[in-house]
Amino acid sequence: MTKPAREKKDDAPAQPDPRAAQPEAVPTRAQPENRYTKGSLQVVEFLLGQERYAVDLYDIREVVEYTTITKLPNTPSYMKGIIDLRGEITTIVDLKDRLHIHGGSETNEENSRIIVLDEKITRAKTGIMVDDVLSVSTFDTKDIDYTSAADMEDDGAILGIIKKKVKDKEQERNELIIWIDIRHLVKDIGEVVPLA
Amino acid sequence: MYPSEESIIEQVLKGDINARVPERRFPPGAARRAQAINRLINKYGEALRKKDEAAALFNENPVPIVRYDEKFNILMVNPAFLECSGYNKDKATAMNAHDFKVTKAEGHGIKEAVRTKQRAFGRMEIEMPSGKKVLDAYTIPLLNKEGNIRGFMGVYVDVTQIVKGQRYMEHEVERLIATYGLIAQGDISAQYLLTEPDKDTRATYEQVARLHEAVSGIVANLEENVRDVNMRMQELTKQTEQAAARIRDASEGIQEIARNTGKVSENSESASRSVDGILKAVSDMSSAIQDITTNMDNAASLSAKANELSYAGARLAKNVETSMKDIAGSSGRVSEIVTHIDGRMGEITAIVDVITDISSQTNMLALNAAIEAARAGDAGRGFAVVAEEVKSLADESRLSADKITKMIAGFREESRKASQAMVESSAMVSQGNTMVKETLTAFSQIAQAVEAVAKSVADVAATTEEQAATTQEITASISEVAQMVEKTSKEAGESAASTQQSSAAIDEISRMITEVSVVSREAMEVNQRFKVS
Repeated sequence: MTKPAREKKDDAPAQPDPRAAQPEAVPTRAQPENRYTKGSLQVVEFLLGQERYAVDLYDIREVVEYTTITKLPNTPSYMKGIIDLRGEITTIVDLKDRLHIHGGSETNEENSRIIVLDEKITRAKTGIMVDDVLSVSTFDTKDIDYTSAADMEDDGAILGIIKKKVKDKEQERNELIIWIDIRHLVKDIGEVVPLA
Repeated sequence: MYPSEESIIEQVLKGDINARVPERRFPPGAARRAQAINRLINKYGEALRKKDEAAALFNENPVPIVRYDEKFNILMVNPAFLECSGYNKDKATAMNAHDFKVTKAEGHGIKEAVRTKQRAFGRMEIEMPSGKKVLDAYTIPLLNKEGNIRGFMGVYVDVTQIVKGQRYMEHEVERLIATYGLIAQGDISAQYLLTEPDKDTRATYEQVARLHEAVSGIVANLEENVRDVNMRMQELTKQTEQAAARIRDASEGIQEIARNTGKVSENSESASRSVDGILKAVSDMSSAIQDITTNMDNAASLSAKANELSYAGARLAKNVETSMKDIAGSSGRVSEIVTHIDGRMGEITAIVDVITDISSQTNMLALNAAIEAARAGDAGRGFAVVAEEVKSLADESRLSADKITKMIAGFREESRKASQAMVESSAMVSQGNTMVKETLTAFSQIAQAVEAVAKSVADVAATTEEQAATTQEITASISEVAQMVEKTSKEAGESAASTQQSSAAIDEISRMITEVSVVSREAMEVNQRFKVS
């Protein structure tokens, strides 16, 4: 198992130029703020443990089912490993591990989903492992609270808290969705790789 | 007086009593005197003859006779007395009546004879050289012309043998009556050995021994019968107890039979007690036998009842067995159905799994479609709505599938319980089958035991009849005893008669002696007229 994984890692530096060119295309952290001040925000909601999270719709390529993950040696623990997605090697990040979320509902790993990220935001093709993908939603920017994000340290990667109105037994209440900056979280992926 | 007269008288006195004075030779005066002398000689001869007769009567008499003087010194004894007493003649004639060792006396003796001057009678026991003798003693006073006592005559009838035999008989019969009394009270082992007889009592002993042997034989018979009855009763009791034990083994449903068999046991026990009563008294034996007969009848009827009930019980148990088989068949079918349902549930679960899988994938496809639609911007808006709808349908079908899965799990739990219950019930049915088989066996054992009881009852009845026969035999032998006692009393009467006969003979003798004495007195008076120089 380790041997083919290494080969693939060795292959990575030999990746063609289009990838090398991408880093310039990767938007900075300030970019989305500008983008979403227009009035509405489109996100994909998903579950990590008990909590609802959201990422920018445009950072996402697709959602796939869990398949067997090949582990790689000498990598951080949140680096789950790699999978073969329709012929392409895709690196899988355990987002719960990456965000230091422990405990919560222990859903079976085989029932989890993989959100494949858009190639624009990563150097290597990357997927994040989440407990479940809930929906594609559009929110008004006035429903987003940025204050809590400001208190966070840099590595928190929280862009804001979305207040989603839900009807629960004839009563309207706000469900809180944590909007995270997935680009920031996966920016390391592939950075190690292009040392050559 | 002529010399010839003198010589004739001399001749006569010397013993020739046929000598006579020749009367004609005398002158008329002298002739009268000669006639008187001859008459005297005739009288003298007659007296001498009577004296001889008396001596013979005295000496030849088989009854012992003693002649005493007025002071009871013995003057003469006859040979019969010597034989009876064992004294020799010299010793006897030197004795006085008071020298006899009289150990026992009843009736009248010499004192009475002296007082009344008449014959006295008594019975006495005297120690003599020949042994202890029982004598019937007659003391006869001899009177002179003035009526004064001049001596006595003692006549003794030896009744030793009769008296001893009678006493022996009385004693032995009394002991036998005591022994038979014990037997009658139930101590069949009571025995009595007859006292060894002596020469006087041998004849009596033989008679009593014959009677005793006859009764002993009957008693031995009776003992054997009683033992036989006991043995059979024990067997009966044992059998009945076995029956009772088996009945106890039977299930609660056959309690009635157990009760009835208990009654059989009770009745058998009371029969046993009744038979024990036979031992207690031969007089009670008849009533005890009746008790036994009654009890046997009861036992027989109860046995028959028990038999009937056990057959009825066996029929019921057979019915139960059939029902058990039906139940076993039904529960087997139910079990099959339940297993079948469980299999179907599994199939449904598999199908639901497929549905769940499909809905999950549909959900994902809808998500991806929504993502694509959003990326397409305004152009994809319509498609996004469709994708949302598809997603909600997929979610709904997934929820339904989850519900179905939960329901199926519930069903499977229920059917698992049903299946377990079926297993339990089939185990119970097989247990019930075993119990029914055991019950059937118990019933057949009861039937056997009851038959054994009936047989024992019949045996006891037969033995009881034998016993009744024995009781009759005993009654017969008791009447034989009565006859024997009667015979004994008759014999005693006979001996009394012979004593009376003896007494009559003695009277005769005494009469004759008196006569002799009168004659001799007369002779002496006649003689005294003569003065012999």
